[in-house]
Amino acid sequence: MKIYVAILLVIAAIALSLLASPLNLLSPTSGLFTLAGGGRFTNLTITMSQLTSPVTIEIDTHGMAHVYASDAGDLFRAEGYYEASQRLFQMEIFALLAAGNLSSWVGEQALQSDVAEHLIGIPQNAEMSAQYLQSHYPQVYSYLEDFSQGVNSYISSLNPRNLPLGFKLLHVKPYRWSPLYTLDIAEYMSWSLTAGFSDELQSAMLYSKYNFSMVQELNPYYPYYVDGNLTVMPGNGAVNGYSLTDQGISPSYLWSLDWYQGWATGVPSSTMKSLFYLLEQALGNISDPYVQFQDMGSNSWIVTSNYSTSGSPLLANDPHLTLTAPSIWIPIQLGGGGFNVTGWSLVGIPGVLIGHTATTAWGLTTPSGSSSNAYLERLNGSYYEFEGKWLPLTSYNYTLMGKTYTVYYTNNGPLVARSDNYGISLYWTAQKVPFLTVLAEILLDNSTNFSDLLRAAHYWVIPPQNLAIVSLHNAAIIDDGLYPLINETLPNCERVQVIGARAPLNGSSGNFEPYGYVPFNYLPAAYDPTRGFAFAPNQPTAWVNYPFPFVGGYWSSGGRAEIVYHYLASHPHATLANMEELQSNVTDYWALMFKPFLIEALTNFSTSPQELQALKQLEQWNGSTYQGQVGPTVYTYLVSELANITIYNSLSSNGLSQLDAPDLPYLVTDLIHIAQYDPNSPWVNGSFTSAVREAFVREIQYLNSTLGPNVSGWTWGKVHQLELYSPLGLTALSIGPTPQWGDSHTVAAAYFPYVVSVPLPFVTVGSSLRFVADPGDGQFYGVFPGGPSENVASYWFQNQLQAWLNFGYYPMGGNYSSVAQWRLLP
Amino acid sequence: MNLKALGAIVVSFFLSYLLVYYLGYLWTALISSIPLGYLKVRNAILLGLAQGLVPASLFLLYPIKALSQSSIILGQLAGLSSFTTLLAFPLTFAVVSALASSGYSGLYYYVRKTVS
Repeated sequence: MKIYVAILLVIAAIALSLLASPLNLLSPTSGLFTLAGGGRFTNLTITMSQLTSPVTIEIDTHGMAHVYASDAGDLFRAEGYYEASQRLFQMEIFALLAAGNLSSWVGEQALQSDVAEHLIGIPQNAEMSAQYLQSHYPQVYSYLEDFSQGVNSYISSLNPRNLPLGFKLLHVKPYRWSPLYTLDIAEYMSWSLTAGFSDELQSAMLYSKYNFSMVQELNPYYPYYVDGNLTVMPGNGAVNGYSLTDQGISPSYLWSLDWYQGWATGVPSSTMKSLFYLLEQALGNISDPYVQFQDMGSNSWIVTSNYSTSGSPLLANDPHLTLTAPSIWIPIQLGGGGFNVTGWSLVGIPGVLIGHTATTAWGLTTPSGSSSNAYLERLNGSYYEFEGKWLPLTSYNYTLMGKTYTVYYTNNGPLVARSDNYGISLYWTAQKVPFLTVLAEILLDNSTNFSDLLRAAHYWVIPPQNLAIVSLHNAAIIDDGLYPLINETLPNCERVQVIGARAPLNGSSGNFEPYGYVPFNYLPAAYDPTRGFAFAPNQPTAWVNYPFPFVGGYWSSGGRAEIVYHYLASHPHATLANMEELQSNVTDYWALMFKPFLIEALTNFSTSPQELQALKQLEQWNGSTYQGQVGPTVYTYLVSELANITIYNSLSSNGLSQLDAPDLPYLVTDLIHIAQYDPNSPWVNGSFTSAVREAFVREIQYLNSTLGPNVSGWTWGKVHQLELYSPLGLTALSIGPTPQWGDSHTVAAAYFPYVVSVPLPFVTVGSSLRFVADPGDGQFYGVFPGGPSENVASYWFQNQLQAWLNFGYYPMGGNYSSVAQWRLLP
Repeated sequence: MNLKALGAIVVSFFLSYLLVYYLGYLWTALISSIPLGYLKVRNAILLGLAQGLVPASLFLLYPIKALSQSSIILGQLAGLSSFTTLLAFPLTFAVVSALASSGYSGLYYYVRKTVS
């Protein structure tokens, strides 16, 4: 061989190894394939210098970790280590998102999201809360630090070869965890569960285009068909013997008023209408394209001791959140240092957020009353007007990708939008009050009786939640948290303190400033209700005579509440099996109610065999929504087409397309109400019957072209499918799509917007976990759509998913079998 | 084949395992194939190609189910079939090794001829 040929061959080898270097990612030992080696639970001995004594972690056959330590500090250190070992990438990307610093990992595409988090104030609020907890609740803060030490200990054990997949894909390294990131996540979750600000902007936009009666027909103060039987606190709304009537105010008068007008907001309607673009801008500025967790609803209910077979209270809870892969939850038992708590930890936050001790259990749903408000501010340069004076705007600077940004504040909160001399500011309780909810969680985790649970409830500040609690003998649901009160003077000169608003309030006058919060003893609540049960699937928490009217009550339509109410009312001597059966209910209450009106409108209309066959499917449908049924498909596309040619069309032509589904919580009940009481409403183009007929023809044509001519093949599972998204948004790392039961109004919820597409947009929101508890009997069961690990190749990535899909449960207490034991040594 | 040649092969494969296991980069084939330069060009090419078995065999470190699942997922990420995803690194490693070892063989032959 000639020398130059030999040299050329070596050069070619070097060139090829360089050119093909992206293939290093597919190396068996240092590339992405290392994920095939992770995600197994094996016996381990781990050294963690921060521990004061040995800790044991046992992982059971269902993927729950049981952590046993001799003191609380070690317990939270071990929890941090374990969670990081299973979910480090998820925790870190979630914390960066919440802290408004995701662009440091993914670049410019995350800038809008980062700016939105700073405008809302999530990192600023977390900083304020960290300082407050450190100085006022050092014990609680030390738990956050212990948790961080555990996370960081795991990070220290990593090398570039065994980094979790997400870090390798983004070419980033883990950063050190701190209590601030825990609080960032907590604030982010709180904001995603907070009602008020966006709702007020949206309802004001609606009001600016339609008259009051049309707005009320579409967006009533209370959802149609709800009454005092259906509210969380049963009855007319009186609490602790106090009501609106006691203040000399007639509920029927108060709820007949136009709360969008200037007397209620301090802003003349004409001014508000002229500022439509500003409202739109405010909504856009705080919208987060990376929004991770949407709360579309949740279920919880309690059964009192005299209404259950076991003679002790029962609890059921399934919070509905965006379903991600991995899940936001991680199942864990924490034992030692005074704790013995089992349930689900929210990743990145120490402790158990939903779960039980040996003698107590608790769950959460969102009540949807306003705890944030929008204010219209008058501005002049760097000044804002308040009570006739011009005060300087304060500011907060932050840097993203080398560029400095500024958030300006009025006394109400950050200015999220500005145009000339007007601006919209965001008032949110989280800006004013530190995140004591973390203390509430620790107290819940440490509870042994009902008094302990109530003590924890006192510290629950943000976000307001329906806190369902049961002990050995007592049960309650409390619409818990801080609701800012606003003084209002009614047109008849009577004065009343209300919660929230229907449109942005005047921020300049001082008359609409929040004036304290609803006292704990006057929060809507059901303590050991005499009827034997209470329930809180996001329906109104109190009826019309509640002394602090929820003017800013943006409730769900109550379809799930109806099912729960009727089920529990007809099941005295309830058992845990009943709780599980109710959680798996897939009957759409509103569909059953709407169906007769739809069928009546279509009677003697259709002539084609295909239309007649579809109509027959609808007639024979029993309202349940299993994957193999055709009825839900025919019904859903009929409602979607009907909404399309009526309400959506009207909104769109008025520049309100951003209010389309799923932002119309009352769409179906609106249509039922219109069919029943106002069939000539302008919302259905003047004729409900004609609109339904047109929608039906369009539906059949559409389904025929997309699903084929055979109507019996139009099964629900073909169009209604579940997808669990990865935090990176990569399909390869997601789970699904898979055919799914349920719809937006079933107790076993599987949300989708009413749009005309085959398949429907994938279901991404549903029961993020299911939990049933009978502390008196020591029986606790649960399931969630995932597993403990974030490793996509691991069995533990989705080991509970099939059980969740099939409404199965795993024991969450008592004896268990271990698959691995970790010994953590100091 | 004499003992020295056999020794060169053993050293080369040993180096391959060591470098792929601890570093896992394609360029490590440039180092691990140096001993193969002692062989004749044809043998160097053949054994260089055979070095691809080294990274391929290291996939056996993983449970077969997890490996199969990983190859499917990584294939989807890379827009490749799962089979190609598994083969890409070992094949490229083999080609780099074959090119380098044949070049080393030519260089060794030239040096030996020049010295003698």
